[in-house]
Amino acid sequence: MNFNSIEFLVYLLVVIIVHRALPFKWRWAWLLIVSYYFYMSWNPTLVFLILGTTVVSYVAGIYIEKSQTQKVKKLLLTLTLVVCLGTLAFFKYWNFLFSSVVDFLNLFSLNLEGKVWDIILPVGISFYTFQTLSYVIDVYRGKVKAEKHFGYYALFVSYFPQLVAGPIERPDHLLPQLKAEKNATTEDMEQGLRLMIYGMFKKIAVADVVGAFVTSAFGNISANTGFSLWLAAMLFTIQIYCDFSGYSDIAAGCARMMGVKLTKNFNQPLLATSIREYGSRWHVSLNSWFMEYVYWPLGGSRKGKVRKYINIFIVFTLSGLWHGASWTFVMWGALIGTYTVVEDLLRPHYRNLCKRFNIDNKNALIVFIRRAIVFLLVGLTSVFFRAQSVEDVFLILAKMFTEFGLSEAYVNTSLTALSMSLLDIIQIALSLVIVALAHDMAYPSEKGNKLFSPLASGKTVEATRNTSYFYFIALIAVVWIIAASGNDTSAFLYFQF
Amino acid sequence: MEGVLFNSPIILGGFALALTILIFELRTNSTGYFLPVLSVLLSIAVIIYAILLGATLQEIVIVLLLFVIINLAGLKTEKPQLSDEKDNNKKISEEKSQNVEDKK
Repeated sequence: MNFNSIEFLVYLLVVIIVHRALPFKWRWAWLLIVSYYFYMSWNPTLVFLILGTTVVSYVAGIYIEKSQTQKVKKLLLTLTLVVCLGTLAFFKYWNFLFSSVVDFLNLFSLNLEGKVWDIILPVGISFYTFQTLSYVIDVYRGKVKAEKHFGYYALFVSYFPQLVAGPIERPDHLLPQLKAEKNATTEDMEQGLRLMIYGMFKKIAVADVVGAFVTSAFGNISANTGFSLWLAAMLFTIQIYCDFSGYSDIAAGCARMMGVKLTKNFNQPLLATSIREYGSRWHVSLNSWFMEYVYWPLGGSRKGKVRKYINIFIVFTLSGLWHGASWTFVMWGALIGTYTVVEDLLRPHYRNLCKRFNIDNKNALIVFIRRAIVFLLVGLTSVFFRAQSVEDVFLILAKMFTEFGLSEAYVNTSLTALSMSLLDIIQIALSLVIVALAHDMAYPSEKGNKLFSPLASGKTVEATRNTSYFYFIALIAVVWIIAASGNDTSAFLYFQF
Repeated sequence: MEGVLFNSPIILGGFALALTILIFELRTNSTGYFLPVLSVLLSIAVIIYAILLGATLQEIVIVLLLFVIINLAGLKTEKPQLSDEKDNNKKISEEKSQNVEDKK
């Protein structure tokens, strides 16, 4: 059941109405049932996997807290990590590891043939595994108390808005909200609706539209020029941002309409002026998970610069591997890690340069140049993220850096290769303007700021705000119709992780 | 530019009128619903007419995108001032106007 489907909207309406009608003490049961129903809509048999992970981590949490000795606590934690990560490794990485070993041995002419198993990747396994691990580790560290109520804990693991593609919630953030006995306010409902509209727009009107050109380019590399491949890489950066952040917004909107505030997973990363800033704005819940449970335990930046850079590299490479069982994802993570290390090394020199030549970093032109550089660098990593194989990565990179031109004829040829017209370019450009402008509408300040129109001397214009909703919904509906007529409605990209 | 939308004066005029009503409503600081609803109804009528004339959905999408941008460009968030900050700002502006009067 995709978020961008009529089926889901009907499902959500029923969930919210019944949730509101039920007394507080039974709401957890209703949410648990509908969350499992949501998960089973993907594949009913794999529900035992999430149930198994839930039971193991629930029991582990209780016994870790009960244990008197550190040795026993550590043993229980280790066992839980082995079971949960082992399950993830089997379902997600078995075929990848097996075929990598076979390929490696074949390099030495051992000519081993292996049969790849037909293992179904359970939806959301990477997300709920990390979420349960953060719970168990936090209980071990004494940061949170073990949850005794199995129903609430099971709901924490399987809460449907964030089950299949995050955000990865921490137990001290989500559990208290699930247990709180309060109704969603009018402001919650309104904010939830705004988030859902914004998310739907990003997914349907931007990500899916742009995705068609990306698929065309990456599916037929030889027919594309260097310029069209650069364009496709940049478009993929936009696609993955709008797809994933769109999903996160819809998830946050659904939860908000039930009075639950999920972690904000994206903070306009494409406006970042440095790689470090980009990392802090992109997939916030995953990056903070790796920081807290991998980077700092490895020593972080406390053991010298060399160790710091090694830790950064390890974290980003693991993050790449988390995204997918393929060497292209590992390379993607390693490349981001390399960017981060190089930027850290160059940062003092850049600061000296700015001081020496009196460069104001807040100058609009400087900010624009920095954003453009970050966008280009991130766009380059998109090649690794999107390509089907390592061979394709090198083929694309070779074309991007050797077959490039800017003449009118060359650009026209490139656009033709992508089947992109002037109207398509206008549509995408205007859509991106809306993504930027609508961010404040979707995320007004937490302090309950009023929206106002500067054209109307600072007074709130309720009527205009409502018309913007109408046009938004109309826009989403029309683009949806276009997509549905061409069978182009697609699942969210991060569901594959 | 090719397309029914960009080559029909009636359709372009209809959308331009709907946009003008919208911008006029923003500038006159109207808090009623009459003008926005009128703008919306006019847009719907023009869209139906455009589709009947053979306009593609992509052309309709581009016009709708413009309408959304106009609506959003007219909206901003206002940072709430803390009561101390409000008092300070009031004092500063009063002092400034006093200084201007003294100079005169």
